[in-house]
Amino acid sequence: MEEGSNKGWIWGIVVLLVVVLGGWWVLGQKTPGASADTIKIGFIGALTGDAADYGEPQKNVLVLAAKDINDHGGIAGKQVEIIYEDAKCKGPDGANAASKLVNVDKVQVILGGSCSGETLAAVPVAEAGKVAIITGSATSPALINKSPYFFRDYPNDSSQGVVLADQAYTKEGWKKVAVIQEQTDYALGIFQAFEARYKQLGGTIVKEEFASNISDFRSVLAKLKADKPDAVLVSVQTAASAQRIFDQMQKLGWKPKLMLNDVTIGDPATLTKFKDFLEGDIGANFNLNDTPKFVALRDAYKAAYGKDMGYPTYSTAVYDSLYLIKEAIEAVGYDGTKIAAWGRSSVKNWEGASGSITIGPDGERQSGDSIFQVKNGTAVLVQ
Amino acid sequence: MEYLIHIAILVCIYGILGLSLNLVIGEAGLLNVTQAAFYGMGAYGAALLITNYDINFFLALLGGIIISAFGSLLIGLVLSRFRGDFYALGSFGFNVIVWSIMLNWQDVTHGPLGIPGIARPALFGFTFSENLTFLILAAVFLALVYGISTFITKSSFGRVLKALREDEEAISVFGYATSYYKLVTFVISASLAAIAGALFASYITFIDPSSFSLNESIFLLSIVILGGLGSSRGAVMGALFLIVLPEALRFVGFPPDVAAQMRQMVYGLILILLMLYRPQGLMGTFRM
Repeated sequence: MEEGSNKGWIWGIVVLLVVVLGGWWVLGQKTPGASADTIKIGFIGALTGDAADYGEPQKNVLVLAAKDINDHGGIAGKQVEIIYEDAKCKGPDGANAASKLVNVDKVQVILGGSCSGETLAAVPVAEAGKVAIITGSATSPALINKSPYFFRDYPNDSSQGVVLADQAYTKEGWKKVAVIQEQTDYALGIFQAFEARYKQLGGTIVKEEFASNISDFRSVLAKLKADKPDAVLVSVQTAASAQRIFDQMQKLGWKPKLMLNDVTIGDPATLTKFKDFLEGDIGANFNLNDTPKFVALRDAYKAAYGKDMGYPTYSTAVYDSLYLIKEAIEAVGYDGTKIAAWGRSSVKNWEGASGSITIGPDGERQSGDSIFQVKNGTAVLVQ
Repeated sequence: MEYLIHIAILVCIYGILGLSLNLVIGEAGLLNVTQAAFYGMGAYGAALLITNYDINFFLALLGGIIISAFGSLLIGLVLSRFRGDFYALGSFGFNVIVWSIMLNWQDVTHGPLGIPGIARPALFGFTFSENLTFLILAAVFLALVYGISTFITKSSFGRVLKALREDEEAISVFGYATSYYKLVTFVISASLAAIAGALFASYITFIDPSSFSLNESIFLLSIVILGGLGSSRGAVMGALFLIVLPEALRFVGFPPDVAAQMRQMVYGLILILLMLYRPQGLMGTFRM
């Protein structure tokens, strides 16, 4: 190398030193996941970046759950310690976080991730380390039977799409539905399940997609309006996108019948803000009947953090996942393989904050979504 | 130990990307922000061949390289006509186009759902399923790319590139067809990036378009600039630094409430400080 290379090598050595010392330190930390008085549980979620909206309330409810468990004697007499790792909703970060939790912290269970991308990348790492991984908010159908070490206490996307398609075609009699879909794995997953079912029933679909960074929907809406659909399915990743769409529909003077996915109908702020606009519209969500456990969690969250619990459907499922794991460890011990097997065989009508949970032998939550209707700014279960 | 191996594998993959990008930016002086597109083409090419046709990883890797080389040839034919800032903007545009194709061509790429379940490499009945064996494989590829990169920079071709970087007009006066040199470098660089893409796809076993967005190109640019432009060792150092630093920050012991946010902030701060006090990068020979 030419000039400046001496200095360069000094820097190189500094970097190497940092790496070697860091590595030595990491290896020095090789404590097992369960020491004499604590049980370590990993969490992977989106704590920074665009998707931190989901990850943050999930972390918050876990803090509450862990405190509650520890105040009541811990898990099998040991205090529980959750190690929170950020994966930003991205695959490689999910693999990084999982690798750290599995190999450095030596956890036997991971909760998470928040999104399907990071979970898809984390599951093989967990499986290689024989660590159980349970998610309460990654919903991609690609995760179904991905690994015997994976299970979830949140229904996958196909459940939502199917319920909506049945309601639209059979109950409402809508033969032509327009879809406005955000280009994310989650929104696409719902659409694909909806499309398969709805076309099978005999309906026709027109669809427009938009990238997540788009905020002007006027041309998309104008086009869909010209197609004269019986109803419009709004499949979005976040309630913020849905709000922008509703806003521009209002400006366009177009109010078709709407079908909403869980992030929209499950977001109280959106329903309040567009109270009149959404009156009578339907959506799929999973059954939050305001059970005592749900109400207690909602109130505790508000008291602890001074704001409403974000994305209650995901957050409650994540909250429940820690209690499920508590039961698993008490039943079969702190062992990833056994916990995963327990998760796929022993969860039947388990009453949690997210309702009654049954997990099938495929690791999927059985009790799926229901149809809700917006009435006076709140979502009401349609019987 | 597994964790360190995991990080070392990522360093190898990003080291290959750093080396490939250094050829274009560091040696030829072309501010290229489209490298993630070729990284992605290699990853998608290999992943699709492996998952759809059950082709051996090493052949799929070759397929990925061919796809990426062909793509870069088409893009390069246009880009090589640009200079300076326009080159950067043009390359910026191509990254967005390729990313949009990955996102929208759903019949092939599965769009935002990505491609899960990509198999690990296998050779003569031996599968690189253990991370340690995969690390060896990745390191071999890194060494190979390092060799190719040094060979190019030391060759007469490399000297023309350096001259191109210093003064494009002067060298064209001497009769060198500068756009030809730019194009060839661009295609070589894209082909090398495709190797990293295939390794990445096979290692993580899942890819989606978010890994190949403009942000990723900017990250790769940071690797090369931080490592030092025009230095192969610098490119690898840059990758080492930028991959290890955020992981090392997981162990600093910030309070759990703000750990994730602090990690991002400190990471950003360290990068800013480095650029302030070491603008030519860790081992740079040239400043843009």
